[in-house]
Amino acid sequence: VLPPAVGFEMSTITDFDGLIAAGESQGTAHGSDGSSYTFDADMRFMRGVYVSMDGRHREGSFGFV
Amino acid sequence: VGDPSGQVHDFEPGILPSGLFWTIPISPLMLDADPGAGRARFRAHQLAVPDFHDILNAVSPSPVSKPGHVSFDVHWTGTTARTKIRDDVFGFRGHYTVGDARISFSVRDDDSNVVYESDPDGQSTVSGGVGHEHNGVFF
Repeated sequence: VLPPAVGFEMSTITDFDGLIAAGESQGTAHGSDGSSYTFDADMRFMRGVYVSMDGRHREGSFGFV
Repeated sequence: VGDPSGQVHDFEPGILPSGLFWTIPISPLMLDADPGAGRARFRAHQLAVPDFHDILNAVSPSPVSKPGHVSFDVHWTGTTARTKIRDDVFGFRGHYTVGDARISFSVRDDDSNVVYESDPDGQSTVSGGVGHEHNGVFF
């Protein structure tokens, strides 16, 4: 899996043809118990045509969380 | 990926025996996009996603996790003109718009009442983009 940056292959689906959005965001978060944290989130989605494990071309949507 | 030292939560779907990495089928209703403008949105409500505590455990040969649920809303906003990329080494090509990615989330371990929420201010985008990608047999 390569970084979610333009210039790298951002899709985590091989044999894929379609829309992709990917990004890495950083910030702060808080818990309902009063705790505080920093976070780093790598989020992506892919929507399009792919080759399934049985070799067929299929359409689908996938999320990278 | 950020610095894993001191990490206390790591919500992601896991790695399948096939090698499929942190990737799950989703409903297309969770997505919106205008790739020409570099805009996209990915949202989920109360999605079952386990908590692996930290990334080193998550990618270990025998990861341990506990059930959790996450809600999130990610917005991409394009900041550059669309560019064309072709990489013969990795075997992919596409048209992309570089942009910012902002997220709001709420996550919780199922065995806890503590809810963790992102703060809306002070976020930064390390990298991001929206586009149309072709790889593998579609390269």
